[in-house]
Amino acid sequence: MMESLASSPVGNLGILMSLNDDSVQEILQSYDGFCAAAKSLLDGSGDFSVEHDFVYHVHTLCKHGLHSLARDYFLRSIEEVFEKNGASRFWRHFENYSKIEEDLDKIDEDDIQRVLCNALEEICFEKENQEKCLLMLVHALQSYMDHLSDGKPNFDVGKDYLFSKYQLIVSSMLMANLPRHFPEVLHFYFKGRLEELNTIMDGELNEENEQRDRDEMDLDEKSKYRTGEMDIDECYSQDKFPENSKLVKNIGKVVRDLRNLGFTSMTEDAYASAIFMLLKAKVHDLAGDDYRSSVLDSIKGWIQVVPLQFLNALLAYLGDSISFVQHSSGTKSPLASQPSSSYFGTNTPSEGLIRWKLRLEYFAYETLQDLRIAKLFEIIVDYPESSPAIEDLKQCLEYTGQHSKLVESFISALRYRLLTAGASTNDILHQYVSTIKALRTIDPAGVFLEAVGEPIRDYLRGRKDTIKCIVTMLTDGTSGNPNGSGNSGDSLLEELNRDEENQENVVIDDDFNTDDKQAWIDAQRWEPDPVEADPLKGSRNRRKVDILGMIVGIIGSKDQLVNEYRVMLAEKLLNKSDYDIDSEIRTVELLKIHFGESSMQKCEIMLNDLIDSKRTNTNIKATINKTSEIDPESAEAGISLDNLDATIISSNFWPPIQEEALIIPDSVDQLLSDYARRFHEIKTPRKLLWKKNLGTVKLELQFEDKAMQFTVAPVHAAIIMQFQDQTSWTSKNLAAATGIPVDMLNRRISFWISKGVLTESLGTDPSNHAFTLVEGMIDASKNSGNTGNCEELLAGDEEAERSVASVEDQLRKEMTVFEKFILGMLTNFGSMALDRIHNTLKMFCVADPPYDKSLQQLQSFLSGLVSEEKLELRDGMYFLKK
Amino acid sequence: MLSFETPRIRVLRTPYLNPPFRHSRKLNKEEMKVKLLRILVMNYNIFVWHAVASWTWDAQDETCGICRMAFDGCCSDCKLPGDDCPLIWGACNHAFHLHCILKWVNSQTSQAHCPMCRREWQFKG
Repeated sequence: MMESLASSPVGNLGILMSLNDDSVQEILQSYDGFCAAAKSLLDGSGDFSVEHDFVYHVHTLCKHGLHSLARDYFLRSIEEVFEKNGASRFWRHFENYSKIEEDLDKIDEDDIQRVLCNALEEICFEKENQEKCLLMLVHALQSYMDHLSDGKPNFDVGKDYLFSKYQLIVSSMLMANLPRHFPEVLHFYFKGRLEELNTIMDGELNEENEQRDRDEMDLDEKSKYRTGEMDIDECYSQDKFPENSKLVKNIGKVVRDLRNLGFTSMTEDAYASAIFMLLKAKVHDLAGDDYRSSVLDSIKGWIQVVPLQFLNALLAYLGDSISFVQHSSGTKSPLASQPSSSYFGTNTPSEGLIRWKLRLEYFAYETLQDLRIAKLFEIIVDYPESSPAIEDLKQCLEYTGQHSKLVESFISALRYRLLTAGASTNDILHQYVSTIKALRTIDPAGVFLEAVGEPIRDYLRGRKDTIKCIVTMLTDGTSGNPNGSGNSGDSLLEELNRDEENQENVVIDDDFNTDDKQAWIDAQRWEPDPVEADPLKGSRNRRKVDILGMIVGIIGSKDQLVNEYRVMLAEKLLNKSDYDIDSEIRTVELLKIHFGESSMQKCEIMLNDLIDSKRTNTNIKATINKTSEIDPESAEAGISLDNLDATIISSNFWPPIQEEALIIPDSVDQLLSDYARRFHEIKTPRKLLWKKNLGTVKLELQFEDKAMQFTVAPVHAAIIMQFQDQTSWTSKNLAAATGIPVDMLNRRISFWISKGVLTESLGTDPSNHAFTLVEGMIDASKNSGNTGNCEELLAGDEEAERSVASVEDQLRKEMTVFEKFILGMLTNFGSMALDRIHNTLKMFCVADPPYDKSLQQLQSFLSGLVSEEKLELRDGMYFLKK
Repeated sequence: MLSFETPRIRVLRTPYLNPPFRHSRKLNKEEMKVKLLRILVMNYNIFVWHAVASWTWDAQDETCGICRMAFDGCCSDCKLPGDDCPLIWGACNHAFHLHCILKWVNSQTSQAHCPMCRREWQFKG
């Protein structure tokens, strides 16, 4: 009956038809009475004296079938009252914060908290009152229904309907007037609370850590103890919980009130954003600029301790958490029964909490990843130390899968910071190697490395000294000082070593691979390439990141590398004053493994020459004692065959040697011919050809009061020896005496001037300087470090000091043959592009000597011709210079 | 020089201090002075003179007539030049890599001839 009345106006009309005057009168009276009672109920706030009247009037109205009228009127008046007393008053509390976004500094979080709590309390009180009134109406309706149906109790008067309607009125009323800054206010409220909670938890953690440290000092069995310690920690932290739980409870109350008012999603947004902000701040705080330690675990730990515990408590308080319902007894604080440390271990967390955990962790991973990617360049710069950060980044990327972000950001960082004219090739190479090593950790398949390495490789290809730098890096470990700077991590030599080990492993693997079972296991282990892999580059199912391979890849061919290495090796061997070549042998052996025996053939012969020289040298020395003929003059000069060592080279296998004319003092010269004679006797029919400008001389200069030791090139020795007989020389005379051109002499003699042994004075003729031995060596005190027993290794400290022609010089020499071809071609064709010249040379110069140069080599030769003004280069075309 | 009296030494040092060194003295005096200056001004002492030389076969020709490789290199079968791949001279004074001429001699059924001059091959004593 009730339903039909409520829903159909036709029924209402039917009732109206049947009304007589009395009943109309009655209805009017009770309606007035009902209105007045309702008004006083809603306004009176706590005055329930009108309750009896109210119930009576409701009953009367119901009797006439006017339930809906009563209900609608009541709801409308509730709405009006709420708008007046509730909503507008509620919002008035927050008027002060309307500028909250503009001046964030002036926000007093305590103030916000107070205002929010007050406002909520007030409006909730209001709402509670109204709900009471509403309940009264429901009771009135109910009692009428009960009366009608004679005690059949389960008759619905629409209580749920009324209350949901009321809830709707409340929230729509509030929403309709929602000030724009309210979410902001909520956000700040939660931020403030969370920070408070964070500080409390931090303090607790620190105390725990301190306690743990103390315990560890007491007991050395750290790990064992730590697991056992959990119980203690729990008991310990439980003491602290009241403080936390009070805080959480307060927050929970606020959240509940807000939900009550219909701000469920807004509240959730607010505390979610506050949590994320806090998490972000925490990640930034923990991660910072320190790459030497892994922060992921502490971040995870923090998530577990602060936000998750907070959420757990909050959800539990709000009654969302299943586990809370299951496990906590009503009187106890939810936190007290569920210490966070054991929460995830023993109890099943609620679904909401798990979702939150995943969200938070993902966010943490992403934040950390972004942070690390932005700083990846710096991280890689101090790579071996920063490997924990790399490890973190790897985990983050596994979780988020945003590798492409890494590639893009790192490439742009490289372009901006590394691949510039200001960076030295060595730095770029070191960074490249570190990049390879670091990215190898993140991505063993090398897919991203390929993308990242491409710009570096391209850039390095354009640098002239790349090969030289690579070779230096390769050999650094051998010549370098082992106790020197700890830069050995950069040395490629270690990579060579590792390669050697790997290669051994591979051999073993291959043996196993013949086994079917092993093949099956391998097949099972197969993993597809990451999606980011470039399909054009083919599927490298056994892609192994090989640093040397990637380095050689920069240059293009190993031959160039080997050639450069040979020059460098020659330089090093020729400047040795002993025959100690162990480290060089080792390097060559390692390179042989990598580049193959045949390419290192010449280097091996060079080393072999050194070994042979040592043996021959000993043999020759052995002949001295037998003959024991002492040249009187050389004996007087303090040099005998005993002091003479020789490196005897097989010149065909060495890089072209730079020979310079040099007349060395007679005493030494005679020793040399004596040595050569003895060699000829021992090794007939082989003979020696001296390269007098090469080698090293260890000598001591004795002055009145001191002696100085030097290790110098023969040129320097020859020069200074001239000063024994004559303390002052003009440059022309000295040049004649030593057989070196004057300009070369001037350059070389600067060594002795810099050591304070000679002084230079400009004579009358500007081209003919005078050099004088410094008397008493008083001036030497200015180079205080050089006095006494100083030993200076001079190898290669001046640009023209090389004993071996550089690769460029060799190339220029080899290319001169083709110069005529090129000039002829250009005469015929007028102008030609680089690759056309290259192809034509390749086609026609097939024999004697065949043209086997690369495009780059040709280009550098042509640019040499351009600078000699034989050619011209315009728009990529070469012309003859007119 | 020990026979000089001390005052003379002092006198002798003076010309050195005022550079333009006079060459117009008598030779034996000049030599004396040089010897003295060696003591007084500078003497050198060479501990090690480490020189560099290349070896070569003392042959008239540059390349081996059989393998066409340089004598100072090695024959096509060898890896290391020098002692490991020596030259050998025939009675006709033609030189070859030992390995090359041995191979040649062994490949001939009858008496081998020098590949260069077709004279009967005999190792030079």
